[in-house]
Amino acid sequence: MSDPPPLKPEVFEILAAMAAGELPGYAILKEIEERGTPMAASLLYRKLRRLLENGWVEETDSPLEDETDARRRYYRLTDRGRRVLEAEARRIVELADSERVREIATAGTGSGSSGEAASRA
Amino acid sequence: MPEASGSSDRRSPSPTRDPAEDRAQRILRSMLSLYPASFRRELGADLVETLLERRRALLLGRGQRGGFSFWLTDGLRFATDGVLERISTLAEIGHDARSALRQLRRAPGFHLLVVLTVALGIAASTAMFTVADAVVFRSLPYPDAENLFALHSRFGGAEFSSTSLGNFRDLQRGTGAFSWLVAVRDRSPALTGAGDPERLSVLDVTEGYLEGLAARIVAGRAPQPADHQAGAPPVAVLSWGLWKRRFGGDPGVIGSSVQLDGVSHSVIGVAGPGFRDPGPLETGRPTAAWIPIRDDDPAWAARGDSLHTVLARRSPRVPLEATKAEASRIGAALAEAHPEDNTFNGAPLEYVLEPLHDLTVGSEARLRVLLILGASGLLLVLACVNVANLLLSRGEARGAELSTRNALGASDARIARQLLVESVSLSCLGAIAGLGLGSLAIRAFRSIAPAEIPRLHEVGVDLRAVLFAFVLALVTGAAFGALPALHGARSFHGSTASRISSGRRSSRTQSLLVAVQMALALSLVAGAALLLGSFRNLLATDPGFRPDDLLVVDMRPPGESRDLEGHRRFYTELLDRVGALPGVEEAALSFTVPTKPGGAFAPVRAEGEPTPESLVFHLFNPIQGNLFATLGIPLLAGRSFTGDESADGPMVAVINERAAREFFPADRDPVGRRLALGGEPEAPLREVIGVVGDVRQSGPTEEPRPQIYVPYSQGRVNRLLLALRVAPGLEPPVDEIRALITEMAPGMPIDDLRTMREWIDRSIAVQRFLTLLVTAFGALALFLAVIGTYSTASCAATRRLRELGIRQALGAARGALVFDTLARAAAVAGLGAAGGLVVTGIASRWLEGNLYGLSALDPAILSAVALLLLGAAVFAALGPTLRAVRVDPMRVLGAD
Repeated sequence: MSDPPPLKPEVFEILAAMAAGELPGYAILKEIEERGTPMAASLLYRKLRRLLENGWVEETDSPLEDETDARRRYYRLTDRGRRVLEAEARRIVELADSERVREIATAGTGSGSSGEAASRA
Repeated sequence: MPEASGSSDRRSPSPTRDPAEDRAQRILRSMLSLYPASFRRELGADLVETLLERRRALLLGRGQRGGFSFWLTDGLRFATDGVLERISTLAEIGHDARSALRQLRRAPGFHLLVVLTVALGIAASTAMFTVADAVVFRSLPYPDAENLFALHSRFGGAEFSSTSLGNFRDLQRGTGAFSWLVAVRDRSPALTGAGDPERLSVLDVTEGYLEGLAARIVAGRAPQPADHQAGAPPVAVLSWGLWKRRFGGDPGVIGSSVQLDGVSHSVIGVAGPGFRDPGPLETGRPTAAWIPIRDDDPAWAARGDSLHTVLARRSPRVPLEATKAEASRIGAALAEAHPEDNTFNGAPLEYVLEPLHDLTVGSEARLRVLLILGASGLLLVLACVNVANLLLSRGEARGAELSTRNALGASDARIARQLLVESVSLSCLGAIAGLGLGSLAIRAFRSIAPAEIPRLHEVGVDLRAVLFAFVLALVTGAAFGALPALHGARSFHGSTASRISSGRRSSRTQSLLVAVQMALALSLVAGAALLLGSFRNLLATDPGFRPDDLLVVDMRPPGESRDLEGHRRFYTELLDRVGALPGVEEAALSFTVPTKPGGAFAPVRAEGEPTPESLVFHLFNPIQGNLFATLGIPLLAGRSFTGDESADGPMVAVINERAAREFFPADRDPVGRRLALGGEPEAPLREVIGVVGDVRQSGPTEEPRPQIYVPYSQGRVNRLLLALRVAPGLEPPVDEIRALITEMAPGMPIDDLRTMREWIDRSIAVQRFLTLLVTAFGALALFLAVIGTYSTASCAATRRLRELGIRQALGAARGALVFDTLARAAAVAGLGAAGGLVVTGIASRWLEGNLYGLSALDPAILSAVALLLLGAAVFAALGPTLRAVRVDPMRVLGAD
């Protein structure tokens, strides 16, 4: 199996946010926001549509018995989505571990930028 | 969590929310219309919910300012994302199409073959659809065409298409069931004046004919009521064709006069090029002019002369059944009021409505057109199956690519969609090429189609044809793409082992497809072979006379049409002088000659026999000179006419064998027996003085019929044809004949001058054409089936390369391997051929009516076709198989 291409950063963010479990759309947004890169709801849903189409994410009914929550829909990673996320995470870690990236990071100033630089590579 | 709504209905605003939130929800929902429908359906409502949640959070945190900020950031982004989503949805299909084009460039030869195959199928079916549409399906090109009828006169079992003007007047007065009612009579006057005299087809029409059919007048005017009044000067509306041909399209012709049979008609108008008279009024020659019938026309007074065709448009307010009852009632009333003219053979007159469309198209032509449409449909299905097969074999080669894409995250649905977009793109390319080919085919069709195919002038590529081609392309693209898409989606999954099993499955599918192709090809090739065999039979049919070196001249005698004595003198002199021309061996005059349409018919009664209950009309033929020697009809018994027979001398007749058997079944030799022509008991008896051989009067497609020959002097008709036998190998003296006739009858046009061969060719033109078309389809079908077998064999050979390698390495003889592979190909083809025979058996009843001298299930032809296809299949499989076994087994095994 050949190496998959790197994921787009926002897709990685969404998948990573969803690693937490079954979430409604707003909760995914909050998760992403808490990592420091806020995302517009409409962008999230546009990406969700592709992820649903690719079979990386699936839609579930509300896990709560509460009827008042019924109009909210929940999303979770599929096995394939989880594999893609894991592969991408490994790739980022490997990249971050490489000599060259460490050199750049130590020469540079910011501390949190290494992850982003890597994921955009 | 923010406050919850009590309602589970996501669509209506919840009453528990505050009005500002309801408003926000309404705005967001209306903004959703910026998104593509598929997005709205899947995620729209949930997105709005999430946005509302975000708005609530912002309001909680920052109050009123949070609300503003929501609309400025999330709201704006929501709107722009809608547009972006729309664009990227379009872009995805565009992406698939671009990737399809990339595929195309990657294997140009393969895709060219696919596009060409589709183009052939679409071209054939679009061309034939266009023909069928124009000839059969579309309504006639007149306003309210569904309500147009011809009124036929029925007397018991006999139906006639014509009516007298006298009766027409009563029809006009007697009923309100028709919104339009006209009577039309075709005539063939001679046009004289500037240029050569010419025989024209003109229609005498009652008031409203051209207007009722919405004929466009491009110059001058249509006839007005005043033109129909008694004493009005004779006027004519010219056809576009005559105007262009004889008058060079000069608008100055309006107001000038033309001489028709010596009567001066002033030209009042010219009809547009698009106008054609309804089918039943067509005479073989295009109508040259329309002439208003005047109220002082003597034909109005005649009730006995049925010379006019009556056309009617039913009033939509009156139910069809009531209209029919009305027509039949008027007929009955006429029969009561004027029994002498309106009863026939004891049966009273009854008017019946015949739909103009049916009369124009005719059931035979309709059946033939549908037959070719069906054949082209089979060809299209065959092309589709072929392409599905080709794509399947290619899909296998693309297994690796698809499986990579799948591993990269493309879902099954996504890959299936890509494959479908690919096949639909291919079929659309095929449709474009097919439309090009199809319009060439239609042009060719129009130029070679015989005039017997009705409404040919209406055939042409139009919007309907283009739509048809693209609908076909979409349907066929989806149809032949579906199978590879399904297979493709399955084939790349999982391990090599499962891929091998899916390879086996697709090889079974391919074999099935090849069998289907064989079946379809066999039925088309069988149809072609049967028609070819039948056409050969037609050519080999003995017409009963010698058609070579014969010339037929159609013309009228000069002078008054009732000057019978003048005609007799003219014909006698003509015969003498033509017989003296160099190169003319025999010459005779005859009312009809075989294969040239037309003839006179009369009931025949043998002496001593009672008048039969229902009258059967038989061909009788007034002749002068030795017609039998001229045509080469053998005299079997008795003698021919001497030429000295006269109207007041003993009445005589020569009959053919068929007539001898029909009227004198008990006599071995009917010479000396007597018969009467005509249904009346007082019809004079004629002595049979000779018996001649049978001829196929209407061409080789029809069996000989009874025929009675009588001397011209004892059976006067208004005109005779001149038949000449010229010395073999000599050019017929056409110029001398023309000069002679011009000298003897100045101002009389020669209506027609043709060799007998030309008449025979015309009589079998429809069969020739049908055979040509179906043979072309058969050849294409054979070609496609061979391609299908070849590609499957190539594919199978590649797949089995390893197996063959191992077997060869283990010492299997190459010959045995080749035999084994070919046997498989033959088995598949044999299965298909068997299926094809069944299809042919089912289709045979539509073909039967077009076959002569053989059955649609002719065993010799069908088995020859089956063998041909089997041979072609084995031959097509041979190349790939030989290539496969020639590969070094060690290289194949080493490749793994």
